Amino acid sequence: MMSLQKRLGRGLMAVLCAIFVLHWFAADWVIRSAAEKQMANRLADDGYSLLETLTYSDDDRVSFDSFHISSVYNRRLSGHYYLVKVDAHAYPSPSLLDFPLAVEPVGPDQSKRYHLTGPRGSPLLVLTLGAVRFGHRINISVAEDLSAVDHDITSIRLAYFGLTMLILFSAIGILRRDIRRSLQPLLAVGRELEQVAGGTRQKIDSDVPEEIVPLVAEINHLLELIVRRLQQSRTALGNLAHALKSPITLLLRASEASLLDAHPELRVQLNTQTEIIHRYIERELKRARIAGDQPAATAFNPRREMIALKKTLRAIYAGKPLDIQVTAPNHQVHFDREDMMEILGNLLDNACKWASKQVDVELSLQDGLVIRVADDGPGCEREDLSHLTQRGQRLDEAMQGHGLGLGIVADIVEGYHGQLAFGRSKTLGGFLATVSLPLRR
Amino acid sequence: MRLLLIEDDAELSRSLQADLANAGYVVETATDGELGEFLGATEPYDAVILDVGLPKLSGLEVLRQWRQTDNRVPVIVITARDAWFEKVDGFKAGADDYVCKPFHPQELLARLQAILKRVNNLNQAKLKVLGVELDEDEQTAVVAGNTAHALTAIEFRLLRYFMLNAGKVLSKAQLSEHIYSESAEPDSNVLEVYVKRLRKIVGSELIQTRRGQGYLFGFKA
Repeated sequence: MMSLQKRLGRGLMAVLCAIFVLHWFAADWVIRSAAEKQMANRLADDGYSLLETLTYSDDDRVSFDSFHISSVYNRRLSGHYYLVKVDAHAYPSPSLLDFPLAVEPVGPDQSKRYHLTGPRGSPLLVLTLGAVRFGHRINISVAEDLSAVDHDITSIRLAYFGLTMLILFSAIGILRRDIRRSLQPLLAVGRELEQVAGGTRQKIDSDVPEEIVPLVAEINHLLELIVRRLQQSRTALGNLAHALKSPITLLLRASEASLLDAHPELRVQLNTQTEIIHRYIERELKRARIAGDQPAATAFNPRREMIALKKTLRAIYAGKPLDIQVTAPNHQVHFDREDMMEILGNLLDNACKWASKQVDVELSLQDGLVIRVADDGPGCEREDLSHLTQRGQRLDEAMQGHGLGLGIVADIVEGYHGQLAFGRSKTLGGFLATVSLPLRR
Repeated sequence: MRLLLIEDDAELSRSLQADLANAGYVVETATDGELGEFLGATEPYDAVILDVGLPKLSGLEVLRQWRQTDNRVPVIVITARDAWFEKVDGFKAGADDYVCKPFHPQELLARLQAILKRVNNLNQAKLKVLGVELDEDEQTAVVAGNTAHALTAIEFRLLRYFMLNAGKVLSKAQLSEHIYSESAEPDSNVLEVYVKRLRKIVGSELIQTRRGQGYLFGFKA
């Protein structure tokens, strides 16, 4: 769809151009009429002067005296002409040189203004006055060459055209700027939405025009809802886990009771089934907790979290002299902290379990987040690698602490459309797990 | 050995108390956070077993309050919340060990024994050589009592290797082995760059160049 700015801009520009063209024609017409009106006034003066000089002679003839009006009517082709008609007799001005001026007849006490083509094709403005004197119908036509006036008008027209264009273009410029300025808040909202998608922002808080306030409010509402839903479901699952796990602990304890010494098969059954329930709950709860690739993720600092995780693992594996080396960026990264800790915790736990003394963890941000966890343990044979994440899905095959962790990692990685690869570490010689998560987009 | 067990599930508390008593511990119990916090702060226990989900005051809050008042009693946190971030937050609050529900009673006993054994020599993650103090957890170096200097991963690895081998001449090949990680490609110049950076941090006289042999961490003889 066309951008709002373009759409508004085009519409306004079209309207502006139309208005200016109409305006220009109107102004042109006004200028021309004003000039002609003035000219007609002069022609009328001359016409009336001629009318004044009409005299009546005894032989029932009407004659006029051109002596009193301007001498230009006597100069040849001067551009000023007259034609006096008394009844059917025509008396052209000497300046006409016998050019037949096709004047239009008018009735008594009427006048008419119109255009004619004069000698040598020059445009003429003609004023014809009608009168009845001494019983005769008299038409006096006075004409003037419009060429000179046309010339003046053309230059005025040009100047006015230039001025109009200047005003039009400045108006367009100002309007465009105004449109861009009015659309600023929308662009700001767009930028903030990008930040929300990128995780650097939790809600949109630009000061927006009232038309889009409902839109922004709705988006903010949805964003809040996502965070709250996640929080609620995580809390609920935590509560459920909490409620279920104490009974399972008691079941496990019951399986140890001395009463069962006589029934070892019963003890094994109780123990195994309890473990299976536990694994099942564990797996499904952990899966349900995965936040995945969603815009409300809060940022975390990988280096700081890794150092805390390292301390935790050193405490958990206190009996083992482990050297955990950490490389991680020391700034905020926008991936869900819980998910990332779950990936890192499981991979590290696995590495610590198998390592003889060294574990190497690397987090790097390039096109996405890349996590490498290597250990110096026995590693894993090539043919077993592909089965790793599947272990723990068949619950009865899952051994305590084996497989389940990597399965969860695989689930989380999948939720982020990332990749999980296993192999052999080239520096430590043991197992190497590589997780790459793309940056959101 | 005198233990404090803070657990709100009466059945679990009773059975754990029995197991612990069988193992030869004197066990006192509390069923909520406030009482547990008070007991732990006033009575001298050898260790505390603390549930996280407690009424009145959460287990982590109890732990935080003790650690704030410098109560160093060893604490094993037992919890049903076993996400890794929760474990990390538990250790951040000052837990010494973490046991996730459900657990076998023997597992808890084993953890308890381990923690009682190592309680005195834990938290010694600091290496101190020739006036340089390296915090292995935080990856920071303190030189002659100045403020802590944060090290990059490679600087940290190199410095630690130097400090662990103070006084020995270390070849470039030997050092390279200890600084490269999975993604890095070995490059002979990189090592020199990092040695140069370390000299800026710990002082140039501390790392000497032995022509044709390598580097030596230690004072000039």
